[in-house]
Amino acid sequence: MSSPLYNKIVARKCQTSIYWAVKDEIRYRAETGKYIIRGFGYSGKLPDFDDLLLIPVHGLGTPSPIDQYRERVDTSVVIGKGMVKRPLRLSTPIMIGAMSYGATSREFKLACAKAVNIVGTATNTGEGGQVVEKQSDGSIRWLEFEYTKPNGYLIVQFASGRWGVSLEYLLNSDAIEIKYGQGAKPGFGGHLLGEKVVDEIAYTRGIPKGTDCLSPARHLDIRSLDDLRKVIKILRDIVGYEKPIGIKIGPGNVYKEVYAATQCDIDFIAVDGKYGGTGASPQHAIQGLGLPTLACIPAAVRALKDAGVREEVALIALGGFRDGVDAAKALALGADAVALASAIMIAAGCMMCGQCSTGKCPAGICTQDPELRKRIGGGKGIDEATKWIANYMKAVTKEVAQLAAACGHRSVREFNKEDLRAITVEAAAIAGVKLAGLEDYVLPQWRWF
Amino acid sequence: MPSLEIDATGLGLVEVNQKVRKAVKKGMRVIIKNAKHVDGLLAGLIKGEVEVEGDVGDYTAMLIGMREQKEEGLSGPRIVIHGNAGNYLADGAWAGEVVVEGDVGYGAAIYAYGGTVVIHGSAGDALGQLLKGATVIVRGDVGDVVGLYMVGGTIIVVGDAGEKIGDWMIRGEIFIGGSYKSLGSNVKERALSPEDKKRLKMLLSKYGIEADIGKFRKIVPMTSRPFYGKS
Repeated sequence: MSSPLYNKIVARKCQTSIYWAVKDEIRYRAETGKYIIRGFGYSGKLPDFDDLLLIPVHGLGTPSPIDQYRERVDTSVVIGKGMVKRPLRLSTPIMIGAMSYGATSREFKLACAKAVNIVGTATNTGEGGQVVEKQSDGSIRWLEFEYTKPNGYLIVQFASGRWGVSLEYLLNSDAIEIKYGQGAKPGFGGHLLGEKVVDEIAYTRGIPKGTDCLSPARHLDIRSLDDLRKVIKILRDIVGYEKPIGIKIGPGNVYKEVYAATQCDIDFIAVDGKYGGTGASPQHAIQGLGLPTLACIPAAVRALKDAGVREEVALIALGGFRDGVDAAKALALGADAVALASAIMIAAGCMMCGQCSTGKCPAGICTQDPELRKRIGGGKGIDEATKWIANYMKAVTKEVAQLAAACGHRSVREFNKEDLRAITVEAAAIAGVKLAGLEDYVLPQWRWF
Repeated sequence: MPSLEIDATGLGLVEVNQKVRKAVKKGMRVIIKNAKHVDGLLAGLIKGEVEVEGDVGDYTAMLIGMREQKEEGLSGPRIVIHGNAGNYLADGAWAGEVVVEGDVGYGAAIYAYGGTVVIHGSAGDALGQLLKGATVIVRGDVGDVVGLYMVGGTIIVVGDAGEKIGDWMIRGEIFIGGSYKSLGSNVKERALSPEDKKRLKMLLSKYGIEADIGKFRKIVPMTSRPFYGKS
């Protein structure tokens, strides 16, 4: 005890204990009596796309690689190929995920809409209604929808709070997504603090300025699968059987819920994994609820196959996609498209300060403060942010195409699980991918899926 | 006004709603019979006068009216149901008038932004949950958890209510003429102001409902921020 090394030894042991990294959080709770609310998504290390690698081919008993500089790889994807008159014909499997108007600014939402027009893909309103503009004659311009045209698409969300959901909202859309959950806070519904409900947001959501917006944890008017079937049928009737209708779920009982959703006449299912982000969520929900994206995609694919709708119902994967490598791996696991949200915000200038829930976003993205909103696009405005988002999506699309070529595919739709190897036993077991070196599944069950 | 009679026997949602929309577009008044099996009857209707003879199914008059009609004070469709209605009547409505002569099931006027829903019988649980601006009048009794998460609008119940009336209300008002089993969280009872009495009398008499205004009490939120600002 008297040795001068003693203090060093015990201090070092403390610093490597599991408590060291969270001692400030413990003190925060102790001093305030509050839990932590923050933006963005899961922080930590779970099995993720870095645990998988793509396998190139050389034409020696394997397919030949495609010459990526000379030969074209088809990146097009169709969502809603079953029964609707106007499916989404995307030029890329890269989409923009749901981020609500309210959590994010008008400028950011419009930049996303303009960017998908440039790229030829789809964006999503999120649960806060659509960016609109009231005209002097009393009519409403559905700006977010308008800005995606002629090449892009707008998916509108039909979530448990129904903020801004009207007949016109549904008609001024290209697809409808019934939101059941999201990756960052599955089972928690949605939240927008009254501080962010400024005049424009209040108008869009159809409520008085400053009203806290709570989207309940469940739909108040859809309490069973039978109800869901009825609602989907009614929505199809309202929009003239033209648009794809799908469901979005968080990373819970993915197999069971995807299978159930397929019994309700859907065109797509969006599954948001644990790395999915948010504007504001209790930290314990972000950290403690849900499964990694890597585990969600194979479970969803199995459910679609078991339900016999693998070809008709598109699978959109969300939750933690950073680049074309992640996206290509998700496609190889079975996703038809991937939707990015946090990465889109970063592309638009987000500095990851984590202040999303406070409304003090210094990049003009997660704020309703008129002065801060002027900072969108680095202070250069919506068109600059549009350019950044479109550039990013184009680059990611090129990455996916080049990786497909190296795997011997002429279309991104040809990606499959044989293109992947896991470099950890955990990832191999969770994702049902062959283990590198072993060249076989670590769990025999995966052979049958 | 010319009228069209639709016998919905053997017809599905698409056929009935298409016939109604076409007729209304031509300025015709519509009478529908035998439509109890059609869930979503008249969903998305934006104008016209429709009467339904007999009972109707779930989600009748869902998403009726337009946002512009509410904002500009224009009238939406007028729907009269001479019978009972199933669950989720006038779900998410924005404008118009729905009158039900009988009883209604669970969740009437849920999420409704605007318009008026009048129920001459009784209503089940969950009436007016997350109501955002519509006016809902019930001549009879209502079930449990009426007005949950309301952010606007008015609910008037002439009869009795069940458990947790006005649970977690944020904005809006509930008038009750009878008794209730329990108050929800974040709500308090208040006496009616002379202005409230005048408005109540006007609304009830408009729909031929006789009631002793002196017996009514008003239920309002205790605070407009029951959830946030105290994580």
